[in-house]
This record gives sequence, C-alpha cells and structure tokens, in this order.
Amino acid sequence: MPSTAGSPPSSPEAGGSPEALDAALRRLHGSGRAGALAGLHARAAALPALSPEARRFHLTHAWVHALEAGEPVRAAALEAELRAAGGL
Amino acid sequence: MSAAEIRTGPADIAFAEALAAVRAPIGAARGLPNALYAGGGWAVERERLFRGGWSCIGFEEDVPEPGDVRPVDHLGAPLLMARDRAGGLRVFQNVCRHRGMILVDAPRNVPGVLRCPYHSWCYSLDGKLRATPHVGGPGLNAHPAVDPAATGLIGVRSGVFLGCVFVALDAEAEPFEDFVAPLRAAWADFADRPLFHGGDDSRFALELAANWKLAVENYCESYHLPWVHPGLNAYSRLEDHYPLEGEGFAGQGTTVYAPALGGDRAFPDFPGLPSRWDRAAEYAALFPNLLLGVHRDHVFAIRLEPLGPDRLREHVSIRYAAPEAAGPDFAPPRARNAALWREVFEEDVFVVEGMQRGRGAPGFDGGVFSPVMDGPTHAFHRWVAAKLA
Repeated sequence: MPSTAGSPPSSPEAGGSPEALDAALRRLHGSGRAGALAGLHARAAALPALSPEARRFHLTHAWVHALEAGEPVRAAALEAELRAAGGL
Repeated sequence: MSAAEIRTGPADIAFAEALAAVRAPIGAARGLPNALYAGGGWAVERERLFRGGWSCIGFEEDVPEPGDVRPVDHLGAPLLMARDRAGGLRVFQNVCRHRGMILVDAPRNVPGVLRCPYHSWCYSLDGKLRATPHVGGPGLNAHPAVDPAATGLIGVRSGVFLGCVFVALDAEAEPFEDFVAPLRAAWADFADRPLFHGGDDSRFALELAANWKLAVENYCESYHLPWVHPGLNAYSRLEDHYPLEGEGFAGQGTTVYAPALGGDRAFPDFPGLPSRWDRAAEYAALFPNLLLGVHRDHVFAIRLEPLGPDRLREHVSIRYAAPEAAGPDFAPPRARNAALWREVFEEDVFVVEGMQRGRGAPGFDGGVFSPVMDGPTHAFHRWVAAKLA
C-alpha cells in the first residue's frame, strides 16, 4: 500500500483522479510553485495500481520540489520513501 | 597584444613601446595607447586586469537576506552571489555541474535549494549537490559515477571591503587581505566599521559610452574639479585637495568636506573618528574597478561594470555611519545626498565619454601628464601597463 507521506490532506489544485492530477501538474508547470508541485506529485505517487517505476518517478519529483520549496520535513519524508522504494 | 606575447609584428612592437612610455617618469610619460580603449586590447585586458586578480562584482546589500541569490555577468564569467542560511556571503560559478547550464538568471530569494532548470539537479546554498533526479535512470536518483561530494557548485574566492564584494577567478591571485591591505591601512579609520546602506534611495546606476578605465582616470584626479564640478568647487576648491597614492590605489583628498544639504538634518558621524576627518574626505580608486569615497558620516562606492571596450555601467551605493541614518527619519537627507552625488557623477559623463571619442584620433599618443596635478591618474596608467607588460 503506497504511503502518502509527502501529500497534503487535500489540495485545491486537483481532484483525485490520475487525469485530474495530470492536468493540475501541467497547469503548474513553470509556475515556480514548488510546494504545490511537491504536493501534487506526492498525491500522484500515492495513486493505487501505480507501477513501482511510476511511483518512484512521482516521488522523485515530489522530493525535488519539496527541497526547492524549502520544506525540510516533507522533503525528509519523501526522501525516506524514495530510499525505501529503491530510488536513492 | 601584451609585451610578453610579442613576436615580430610592428603593431606589437609599437604597443610594447607605448606601454614602456606609460611607465616612464611622469614628466616624460605618455598615457595608455588607443588600442586599450577599443576592441583591440579587450581580451588581454579582461584576463590580466580583471580575471588575473581581485575585482569588484557587487555590494553586500545586493543579497541582504538569507536565501537571496543574484547572478553576475563578470566580463563574461557567469557568477552567483548568494546569502546562505547562516547569513554568510558566498560566490559560486553560476553553472550546473551537470551540463553547464546557467542556474539562476535573475535575482530572487530561494526558500530551499537551487534547482537547475534543465535536469533539476539541486544544490544547497553552501554549494553542496543535494539531488540528482533520474541520474541512474527514471526514478533512480543516484549513480556511482556521480559523487555528490565531488560535484558541488564551484566556489569562487571572495572577500568584502567597505561593503563591496570582490572575487578572484585566478587561483594564483594573492590573498584578499593582501590585496586590500594598502588601502585598508590608509583608511584604517573606516575600514572595519559596520556600514548601513540607505536602501533604494541610496543606490543608482549610470550608463556611459566609454571604456571603464576613463572613469577611473577621471576619478583619480582633482585637476578637473573647478572646470567640471562648479557645485563641488563652491565649497572645496582646487587648492583644498591633495593626491593619494598607494599600491593598487590612487585618488585624492580634500581638507574641506562641507556638503550643502540645505535644511536637512545632519547625518550621525562614525563614532570616535580622529578630528582630521571633521572636514576631510578622501576619494580613491581601488584598481581595477572600484571607486570609493569616505566621509565622516557616509561612504560611497561606485562599481564599474565594463559592458565592452567602449561601454560602462556605474553602480553607485551609499552607506551611512549609523543605523538611524539608514532609517525612515533620515529619508529626506539621504535622498538629497544621493541627488548631490548623482549630480556630481553625471557632470563627469561628458568628459569620460569625450575622452573615449578622443581615443578615436589616429595616432593619438596617449596624452601627456601634468607632473603636479596628474600623479594619481599616471599611477593608474602605470598599474595597467605593468599588468599588461
């Protein structure tokens, strides 16, 4: 069961479907809103039925954006998840 | 182009002879040759006068808060000034260690790490490589070939004097403290005091169609004051001035510092200054590209940013002796002080640009010097010639 360590409990940026998350990620691309991007990628990483590779991909992006946003607690949690998933 | 690189060409021989003439005793000397004010000498000058030693790239207030970063194009070298989380000022090459992408293209505050916009390699503000996403393949963020400990941002040697930030790109450059020691000794009364920048009303920039050296040359001497600066001359006459010369710097001082700030309240002075500064002020160029002025109540700095062989931007910054002088109560006199200096520096534009146009005269021999009045300017020419010889 994927965890959601880096994910906020809710986000105004997107609904919960993969399509809605993808659309929200595209909208935020280049916005400089690193914290919001970290949250969306963390939620994408927690989607059910995700392949390990796809999950590591989203965890990677969530982690990078959390580092960029200066959110050390969330970055550390995502880093731990990535490590456990073999991404570090 | 330099004497050391001369082989056989008559132009090179003439250039070497011109540099030798610069280094003659002032009564027989000529000024720097025309080639050093046009494109011909630019590349060598950039390497020898700027990259070969210490030069100024900005001011401490350019990155006032932790997380502030500011890119600096230092004669084509992409640098990054950064204020780290502990408040320390650092200078790095503004280049990602992966594919050499520019990391930061505009001043901003970075809340976390610096993320390269290309492949998102991330660096903390102490320069450490913090993340290499997908470096080992999709979702795999480490690879044995990339050692984070050996792949941090490339640091650049830096130092601060009177709030001005210097770098040395050449690893062989002397220690920073040695570079500033002569002027620090001359201005020991000011050198290690805290300074308080006045904020936006205490900075401005001028752009000139001239080689940067002409701004130094003009700044060094007081000879032109009665002809070019009638306002200054009204209270500080030619005969009130004296020359300053030391290793790596030259300029002039006045025994009559009494600016007309109108009805504005006086700025607080630096505490405990020797009495000679009650009415004295001094102005020195710290070679190559920083012009400084010290007074009992404020210090200004003009960083010369060469934009090419015949274009120049002057960045002016004014700092005060006490924190209250940088606060809101002193905003009106600060604005007045900045306006006074701006007027003086703008009065110099036509002579600096005029000398640049004059360097287009075929066969101009660099000009002669007054042995009495042009000593500091000749000192700068000698410094340049010695670096290029």
